[in-house]
Amino acid sequence: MEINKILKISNLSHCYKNGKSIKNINLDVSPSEVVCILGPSGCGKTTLLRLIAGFEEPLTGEIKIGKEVVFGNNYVPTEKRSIGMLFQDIALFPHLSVKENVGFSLIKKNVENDKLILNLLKKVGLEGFLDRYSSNMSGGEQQRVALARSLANKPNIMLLDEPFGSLDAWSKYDIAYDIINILKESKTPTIMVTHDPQEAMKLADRIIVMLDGEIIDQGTPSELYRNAKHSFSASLMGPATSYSCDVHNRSIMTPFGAISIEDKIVKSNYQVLIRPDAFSIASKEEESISLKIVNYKHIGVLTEVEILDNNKGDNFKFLVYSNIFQEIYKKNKLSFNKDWAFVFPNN
Amino acid sequence: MINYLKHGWGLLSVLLSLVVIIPIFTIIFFLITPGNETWYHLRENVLSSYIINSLYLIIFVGFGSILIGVSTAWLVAMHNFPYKKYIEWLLFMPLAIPSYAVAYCYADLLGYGGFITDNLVSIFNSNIKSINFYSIYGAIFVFIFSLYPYVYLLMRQAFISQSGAHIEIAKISGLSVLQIIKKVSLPLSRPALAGGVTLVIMETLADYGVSDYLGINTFTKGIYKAWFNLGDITSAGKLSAILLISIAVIIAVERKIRGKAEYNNEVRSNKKVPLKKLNGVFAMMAIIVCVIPIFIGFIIPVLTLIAWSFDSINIIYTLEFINVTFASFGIAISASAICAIFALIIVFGMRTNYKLVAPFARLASLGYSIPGAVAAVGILIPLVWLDNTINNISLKYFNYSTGLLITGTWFALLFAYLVRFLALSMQSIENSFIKISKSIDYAAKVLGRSNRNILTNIHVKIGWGGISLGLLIVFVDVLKELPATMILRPFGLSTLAIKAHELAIDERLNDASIPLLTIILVCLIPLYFLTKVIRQE
Repeated sequence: MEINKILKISNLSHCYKNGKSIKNINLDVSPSEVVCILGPSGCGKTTLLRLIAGFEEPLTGEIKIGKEVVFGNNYVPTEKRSIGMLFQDIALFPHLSVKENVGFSLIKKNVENDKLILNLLKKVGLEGFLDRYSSNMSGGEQQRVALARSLANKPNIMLLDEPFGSLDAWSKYDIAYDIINILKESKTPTIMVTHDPQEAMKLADRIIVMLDGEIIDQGTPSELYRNAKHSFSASLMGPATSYSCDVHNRSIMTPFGAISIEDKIVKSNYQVLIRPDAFSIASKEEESISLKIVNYKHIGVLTEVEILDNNKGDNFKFLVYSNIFQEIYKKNKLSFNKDWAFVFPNN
Repeated sequence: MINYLKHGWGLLSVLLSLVVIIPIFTIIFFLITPGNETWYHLRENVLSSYIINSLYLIIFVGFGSILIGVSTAWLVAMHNFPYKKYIEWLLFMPLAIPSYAVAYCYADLLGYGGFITDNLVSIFNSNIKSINFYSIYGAIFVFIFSLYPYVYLLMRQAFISQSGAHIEIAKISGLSVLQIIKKVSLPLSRPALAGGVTLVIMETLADYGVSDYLGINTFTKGIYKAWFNLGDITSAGKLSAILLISIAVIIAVERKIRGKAEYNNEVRSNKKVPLKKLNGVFAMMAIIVCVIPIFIGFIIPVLTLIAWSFDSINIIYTLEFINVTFASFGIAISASAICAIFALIIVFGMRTNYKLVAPFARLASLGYSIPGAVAAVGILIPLVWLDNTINNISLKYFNYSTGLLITGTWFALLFAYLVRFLALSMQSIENSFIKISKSIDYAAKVLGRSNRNILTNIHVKIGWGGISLGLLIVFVDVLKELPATMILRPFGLSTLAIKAHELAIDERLNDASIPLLTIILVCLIPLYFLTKVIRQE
């Protein structure tokens, strides 16, 4: 059973007439794993999902669900791929009751299936909703029904297309955690597409960052926060201030000190992203940096600080955590941890 | 790897669309075929009168319907005045009456001893004994008052959906009311105006009943005569081709005028255009302006028909009337069902494979702009050819003459209705399917349903409203249809429209009133739904 609950995508490429394409995607998802595909609109993340579902045909490559090749040297149409899917607009059948929606994939109407429907509705916490219609249910309730409907089909993989995008901000994560937990319990590998980094960080075991049809980065949420390979994913994964910095003697000259380059090839200019985690209250005198704070602005847990650059004579900004800002402001000093500064060569 | 099964729906849709386009290609073919004696004779002697008459009709009917349609739409959409609630939908009512019925009524009312001329004589002591309605002026009058609702319908919608913000900006910029109409309202509703006038012109050019009754030489009448009186395929085909090209030009001009404006108009704001309240004399004037077309186009013809019907009400019980009614309804039901099935497959095909199907579907919906007579000729020619081929083969190999197997059967007639009215069915089904999210299809797909299953179990059920509206609209149009039915009807078949026309030509107007009133009564049903939608706005 579980051997079917694996997705393997190899060298998948697709091309639209308007020139947009997705290039050479490789992706494995194992049972119970939740993989979030994160990227801006038009990056190809939804296309990837549609290719897996079989709504569109890739140009080249292979898609394998379990042991079966569904695209490649074999072709399996959507309706035979055993896929579950949740949509942003939820897409419950408006002319069917909750019971009929959940039972949509069950061909026979018998006591056993009635039991299954009831069990699934219990699982999603909606056992009293059997005879309701989608028109008088909240978005969250509808999405739970949609989950029950997908599970009734015993999917080998689940595809989630921005499923929480249409839900109210305050109840979104309650529903999201519930749905992800149910999917993990059923050991179903899940791919979720989203453009909301916070959602991805909260829900995903692994995040895949896509840009212009390519996977540019991947890893667990904390790996990507600490160690992104691409400036785009680094800035997506959390607050950071970006600087364009020149190189002198194999060292990148950041506003907070030089960072030496370990790569063999040295570019003339680098983009440096510095997370607020890099700054702390100066404890030892020799490691501290003196500042002339010109202006500051509290943005919740972060504070944006504007200081005067002694070298260049103009101002620049950076982010620190608000809870340490008062101390820094008093002392006009801070200490800087280079590990939280990420450098990316500028082309 | 191409999977043909996956594209099955798309290919089926393309095939069905192609079937519907056949008559168009047949007619276009006649543009390049050499003419014959009859054609040269027609071209020398009558073609110019067809062209001149048609131009006269287009120009005057076009302007007349703009005058009435735009002014009433502007009054109703931008103002508040007493009885507006009723006037708003009564202005649509002329759509329920076939133009030819209006022609019969006024020809009689204004003729010698007619109700209007009689009263003119007695009231004003005038010397006018009759007004000659059997002329192009009569036809212009009839078309204006029975077709202006197309302009009214689209312009009213355009005025209403105009954003109040645009008008307010114009006001702030210091423009007067007339300047606002000229510089803001009309340009914004230009696409609607072009669309409405195009519909009016197309209906005018497609007409057979009015011009036949009033004795005006028009293209459709010419086509009919060439086919039946002269028995000349080439002439009928060539006349059809000229008419088709003219219509193509008109549509092209409309598209050009519409251009990108269509998209600009999509700029929506919630701010509605504020309604101006009219009082006293102005309210009175507004009511009069709106009531005149309602009276001329609807109330007077209906009252006339009702008056006529008193003398011939017994017709209802005759076997002939019952037969004709049954035949009419039967053929209209079959035609609307066939149109709905084709439309469902094509529209759903567009949903599954837009890139492949859409161009063919758009071509297939051009059939609506082909006049009935042209469609009929376009169908007859390939069918006659097919019949002859079958006959020849049968003679050659089996020494047996099959005669005309398909021509002159229900098949040919239903095919013509399909060509003419498929677009109506497609439009109303498309409008209802558009509201079904694409995710619904995907959801059903991943849950293991085939395309056919999705169409019958989901789309047909959710979109039933649109499908039934399509059925109804086609039903009504088939019931009113005259030229294609006249040309293609199987021997002995008569419909309500044909019966009424024959009786009217024989000056048995009293008897014609019953089938006409039957048609009007049925036509009121879809209009009722239209007004319901309007009242809900």
